[in-house]
Amino acid sequence: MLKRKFFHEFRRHNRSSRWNADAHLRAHERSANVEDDAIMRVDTCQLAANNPIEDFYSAAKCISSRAFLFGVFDGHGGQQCSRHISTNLYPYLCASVLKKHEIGNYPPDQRLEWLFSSSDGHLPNAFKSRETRNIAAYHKEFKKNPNTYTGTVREALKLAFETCDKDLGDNALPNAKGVIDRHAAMVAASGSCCTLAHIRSRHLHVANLGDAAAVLGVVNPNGSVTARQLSRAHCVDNADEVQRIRIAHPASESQTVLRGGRLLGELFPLRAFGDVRYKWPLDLQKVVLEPLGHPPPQHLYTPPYLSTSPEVFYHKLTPNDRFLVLATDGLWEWLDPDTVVRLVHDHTLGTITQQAYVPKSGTTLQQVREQLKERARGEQKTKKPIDENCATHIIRHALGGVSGGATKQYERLIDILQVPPGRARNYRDDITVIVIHFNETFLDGHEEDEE
Amino acid sequence: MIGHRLAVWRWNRSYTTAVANADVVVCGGGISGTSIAYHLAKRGKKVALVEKDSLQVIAQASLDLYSHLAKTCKFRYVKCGRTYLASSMANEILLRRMYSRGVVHNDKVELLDCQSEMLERWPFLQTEDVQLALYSPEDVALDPVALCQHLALIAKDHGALIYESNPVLEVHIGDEKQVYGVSTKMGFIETSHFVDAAGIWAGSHLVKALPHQHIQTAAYPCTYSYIHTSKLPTGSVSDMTPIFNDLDGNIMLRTTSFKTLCAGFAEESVRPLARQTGSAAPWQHPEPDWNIFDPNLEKLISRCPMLGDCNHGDLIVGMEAYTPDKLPTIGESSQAKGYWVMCGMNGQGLSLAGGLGKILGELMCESQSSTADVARVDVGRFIDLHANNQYLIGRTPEVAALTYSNLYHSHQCHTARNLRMAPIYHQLRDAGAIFGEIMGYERPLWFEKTPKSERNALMSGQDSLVGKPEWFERVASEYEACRERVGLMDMSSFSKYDITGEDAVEYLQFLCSANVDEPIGTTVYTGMQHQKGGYVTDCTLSRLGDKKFFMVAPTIQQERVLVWMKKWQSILKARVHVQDVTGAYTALDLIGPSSRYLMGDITGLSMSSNDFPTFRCQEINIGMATGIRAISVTHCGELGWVIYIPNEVAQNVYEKILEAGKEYSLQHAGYYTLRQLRIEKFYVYWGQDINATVTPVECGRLFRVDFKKDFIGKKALEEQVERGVNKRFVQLLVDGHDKETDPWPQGGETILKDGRPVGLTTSAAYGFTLGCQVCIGYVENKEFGVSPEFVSSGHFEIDIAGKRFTCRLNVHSPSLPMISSEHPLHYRPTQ
Repeated sequence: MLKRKFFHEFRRHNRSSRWNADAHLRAHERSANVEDDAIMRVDTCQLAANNPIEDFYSAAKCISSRAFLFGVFDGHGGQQCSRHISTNLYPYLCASVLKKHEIGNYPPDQRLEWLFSSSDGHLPNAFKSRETRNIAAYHKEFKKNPNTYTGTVREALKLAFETCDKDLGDNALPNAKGVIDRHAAMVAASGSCCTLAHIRSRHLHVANLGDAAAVLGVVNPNGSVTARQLSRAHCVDNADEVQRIRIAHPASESQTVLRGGRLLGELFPLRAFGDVRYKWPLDLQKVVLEPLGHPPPQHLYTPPYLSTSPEVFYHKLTPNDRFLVLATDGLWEWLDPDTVVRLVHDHTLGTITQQAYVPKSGTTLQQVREQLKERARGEQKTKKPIDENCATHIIRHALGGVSGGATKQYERLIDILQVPPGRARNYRDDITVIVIHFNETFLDGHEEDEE
Repeated sequence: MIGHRLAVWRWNRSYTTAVANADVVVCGGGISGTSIAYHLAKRGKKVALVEKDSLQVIAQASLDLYSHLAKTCKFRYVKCGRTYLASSMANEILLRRMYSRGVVHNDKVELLDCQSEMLERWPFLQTEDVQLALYSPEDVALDPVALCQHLALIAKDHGALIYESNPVLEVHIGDEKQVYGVSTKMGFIETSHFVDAAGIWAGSHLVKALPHQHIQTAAYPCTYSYIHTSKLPTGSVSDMTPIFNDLDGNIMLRTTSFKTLCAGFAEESVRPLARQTGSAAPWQHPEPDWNIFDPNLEKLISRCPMLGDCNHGDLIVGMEAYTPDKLPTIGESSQAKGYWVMCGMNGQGLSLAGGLGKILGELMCESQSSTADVARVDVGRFIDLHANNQYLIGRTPEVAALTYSNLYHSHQCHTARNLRMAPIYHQLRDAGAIFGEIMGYERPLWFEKTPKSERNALMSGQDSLVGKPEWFERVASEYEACRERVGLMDMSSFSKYDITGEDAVEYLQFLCSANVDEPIGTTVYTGMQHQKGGYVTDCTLSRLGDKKFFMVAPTIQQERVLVWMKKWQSILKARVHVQDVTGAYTALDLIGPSSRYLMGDITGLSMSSNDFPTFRCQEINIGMATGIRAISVTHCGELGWVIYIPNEVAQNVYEKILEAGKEYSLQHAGYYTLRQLRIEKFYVYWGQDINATVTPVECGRLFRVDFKKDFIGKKALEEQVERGVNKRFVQLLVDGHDKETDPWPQGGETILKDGRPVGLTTSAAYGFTLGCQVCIGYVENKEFGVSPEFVSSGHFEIDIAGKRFTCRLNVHSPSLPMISSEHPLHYRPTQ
C-alpha cells in the first residue's frame, strides 16, 4: 500500500515537473499567422539566461515597400542597447525604401506597421520627438543622395544601420547645456548584435552584425532538407573579419587589437551596435562615459575598432525554400544549422526527429527486430511533437538533446531549467529563435515582380 | 605498439633516399595494388608501391567480410565451399545454369533439390521454401589482409619497393599528357607509369594539368553492411560449413565455429557515400543504421531462425567502389598517358584482383592481354557520362544490391535512366517502345501492341530464363514486318565518326584489314585488327569524299575505338582528323523488301538495285531535310538502308517516313528484332560474339581481309591462315526445344561434341524462319585445331541449365526462304 502511494507520488511529481518544464519553455513563445506574400507563419520563442534578459526580437512591416522585417538582437553589457535597437532600428529601415520599391507616398514616420516585438515600442515623449527628428533628417538625406535612393537594398540597409548607430551615439553626447542624458549614455555604452531579415516579395536580404545567424531550410527533390547559411558570424573564427580588422589598424597594434580571441581583449563580436567604448576617441570617453562608470578599454589607440556596417546576403526565394530560422548565438552553441533545419522540417511534417537506433548490450537479433518494429510503430503513434510552436520545439531539443527519447530529454530539460535566470548565464546564453515559414504556393506562382 | 610503429617508420626512412625513380608506381596497398605489384615485379619491372597507411593499419581498417576469418598473421585459406539457395523459378534456372557451367570446369559441384536432405546437412537452416541448392565445395574463404601481405612480400622478393604510410600527393603529367613522376609524402618518384589501385579513393589523386584536377573514373563508393556476431548456438557449424548465399533473399551467411557473419544487400540498405565538400575531400564514413539493415535481418532470421537467438553483435558498415555495370575497370586512362587504373571491384576484389593484376601486367608490358578478353573490364568501355558523380550516385546502390546476382545480357538497371535519348524518343515511346539502356542511351527493345500512355516504358530486370519471354509475340510480329514488308528501327546508339584529312586513305588502309580505298560512295565492312590479329573493333566505313570517311562502329566502342585511332594517328603521325559524331545523328534503319519503294517515295530518287545497290552510301534529301547520309547496309543481313539524319531535322524526317510508310504497312521494330534477324543469319557482333581475342580467320570473315596491302596484325593473320585455327565460330540450330517450357539459351551455354565440352555459345535468339532456337558460339580444339571434319562430324549438343539439346552446326550463313518479294542475294555475312 505504502509502495503504491509512493509510486503515485513519484508519478505526480514527475508529471508536475514535466509540466513545469513545458510551461517554462513556452512562457515566451509566440506565433503569428501572417499569410501575406511569401510569408505564411512566424513562430518565435525566447528563453532567458540573464536577468533581465538581454535578447530581443521584433517583426514589422514597411508599408511603403511591403517588405517584412524580422530581427533578433543579442545584447551584451546590459540590455539597454539591444532593447533600443530592437525598436529604433525599424524606422530607419522604413525610411530607406528605394525609389523603385516605393508604393504610395507615406511620410517616413507613418510607414511602420509593427507585427510584434519582445520589447515595448513605447518611448518616453522626450525621446520620441528626438527620434522623429532624426528619422526625418535621415530620410531627407537618403532621398537626396542619388546613389542610395536609386541604389540597391544592400546599400540602403547598410546606410540605415550605420545612421541608426551614429544617432544612437550622438544622443549620448552632452546637449547644448552640457547635460548628458543618462539613459542614452547607457544605451550607447552597452552593445548589441543583430541579424535582420528583409523580405520583399521573394527577395530575401539578410543583414548581419555580430554572431547571431540566419539559416535557410531548403528541401531537396528527394525530400531531405539541407541548411543554407545566410550569414557569417563576425568573430575571430572568421578569417576575413580578422583580416579586415588587422588591416584597418597600424601594424604596431597587431599584438593588442585582437587578444584572447576578443577585440582589444574584451569584446567577442567584431561588429555591433552601440559599444561606443570601442568607437569613440579616448578624450570623449573620458568626458562622457568615465563619470558614469564605464572606463575606456586598454590599448585604445586608433578608434573606431568596431564596425556597424552589416554584411548583407541576398537570396531569391524559390519554392524549395521552406523556412528561415533567425537565432541568437545562444542557440548555435547547442545545435548546428543542419540539426536545426532537420528539426524544423520534421516538425512541420508532424514527426519527431529521432536519432539512430543502437541496440543495448545483451539484446538478441530477434529482439533487435522487435525493437525496430516497436520504434516504427511508436513513430506513427507519437507522431505529434510535444510543442505546437516550432521555435519552442527547437529550444526544447537544444537544451534537452536530440537523442534518447522523451524521458531522457525531460530529465535534461528539468535539470537545466531549474537554474534561475541570472545564475543560468554561467551555463547558457539567452536564446531567441524566430522561424519564418514561407508560403510555398506564393513562391511557386508566377513572378509578376519587377527586378 | 608505439615501438612497433617507430620500427616501421625507420624501415621506411632507409628507403626514402634510395629510390627516386621506378618503372611503375603503384598506389594502394589493398588486394588490387599488391596483386598488380606482384605481377609486375615478377615480370622484372622496377615497381614502387606506395600506401597512405601502413599495411598494418590497412589490416585493421579493411576488415571486410572475409577478414574476420583469420586472427593469425599467416596466410589462411579455408576450402569451406559455398552453397547457393534458390526459392524461385528464376533463380532455380540460374543455379542449374551455374551447375552446367561448373561441370565443364571439373568442379565437384552438387545440386540438391530435396528439402529434407538440405535440412539434414545444414540443420540450422530453414529450407522449406528452398527449391534448389547448389553446393560448390571448391569455393574458398581466405584472409585478404594476410593475402595482401603475402603478395607484397613476394613482390618485395622480386625487387619491388614498398613504402608504407606514404600517401600520394600528386601525379605529375607533362608533355602530351604523359605521366613523368609522382609526388609522395616521402618525396618525388620519377616514373612513366602510375597505377591507381586505391580502392574507393581511386581517381582522387591530384593531377593538376587535367580539367578536373584528377582522373575521372567510372567507380563510386557505396556502403555494404554486415553483422558480426557470436557462433550459432548449435554443434552443427564448423569452420568447414559452407558460405550460404540466398539468391532470393539477397543475403549471405558465413558461420564458423567461433563467429557468424551475415550480410544483406537489399537495395534500400545501400547508401552511396558523400563527400564533405569539394571533389577531393575525404569520404565520410557513414554510421551503421539498424533501421535500414532491418529488411536484411528479417530475411536472415527467416532463413536461419537460430540467428535470432544470437547476440546483436556489431553492425559494421564497409565501403566499396562500384561501377555502373558490376564489372571492375582496368587499363590506361585516356585522360593521361601512363596513368593506369585498377578499381571498382564491386565487392569481388578478392576473387578478381589476382587475375586482373595479371591481365593489367600483360597490358602494361605487352599492350595486349593473352589471358582473357579485356573488353568487358577495360576502361575504354565507359564514356564521360559514366564518370559523372550524379550518374554514379544514382546507379551504384543498385549495382551494390546485385552483388550476388548473376546478370545476363538482357539485364537492365532501373536507376540512372533516360539520360541519352534520340530526338524522337517521345514519338517512339508513344508508339509503344519498351526501352533498354546501352552506354546511357535508351533504345527501343520492342514495341507493345496497345501501349498505355502512363506506363513505365523502361525495361528493368532481365528476360525470364525459362519459357517464352514477354516480348516473344511482339518480336515475332516485328520480325515478320522486317522480313516481308518494312520495319523501322532506331539505331542512333551506334558509334559514329567522321574521319577526314590528307592521309585519311593511307591511315585507314593501315588500320583496317579490308581494302577501304574504293570509289567514293562505297561502303566497306571491315575489321580493325591489333598486332595479334584480334578484332579491336569491326565497323562499316563509308567513303563520302576523296579524303572523307564516315565510320559506324558498335555502340559500346564509342570511347575505345576513338582511343585506338588517336593512338595510331600519333604513332603514324598521320594528318587525319577523327571526330566523334555519335550524338549528332539520329540513325533510322529501314529494313525489309519494301524499304526500296519506301526510300524511293521519300527521297524521290531511284533506289533500284542498279542505282543504289547494297554497300553504297550517298548524301540525300528527304522532304525538306538535307544532309542525310543513307547507307545501304542494315546490320542484320536484310535489304534496307540506315539513314543518318542530323538531329535537328530528325523529327521532321521521322514523321515523313511514318506518313509515307503507311502504304507499305511500315511497323516499328526494336533492338530484339535486330538480334533475332542477325543471329539467324549468323552475323556475329563485336562485344557479344567476337572480341579482341578473336581473329577474322576464326569467325569466318577471312574473305573480308585484303592481304595485298599492309595493315596492323597482317603477319599474325597470315601465320594463322598457314597454321590453321584452334577455334571456329559456328551457328547452332537447337533441336527438340520446347519454347514454352524449356529453359532458353542466353549465351554462355556449353557446347558438347560426343558428350565432351568443346566450346561455348556467345549469343542466342529465336529463329522465326528456321523455327528453332539459334545460337552463335565457338568450338575449340586446342590440340589439333578445328578442321571442317571436326565441325561436320560427331554429335553436337548444347547444355541449357542442365538440359541437353541436340544441335545442327552451320559454318556459313544459312539461306532463309522468304514468302514474298525479292530475295537479298547480296548478303553472305560469313563464308
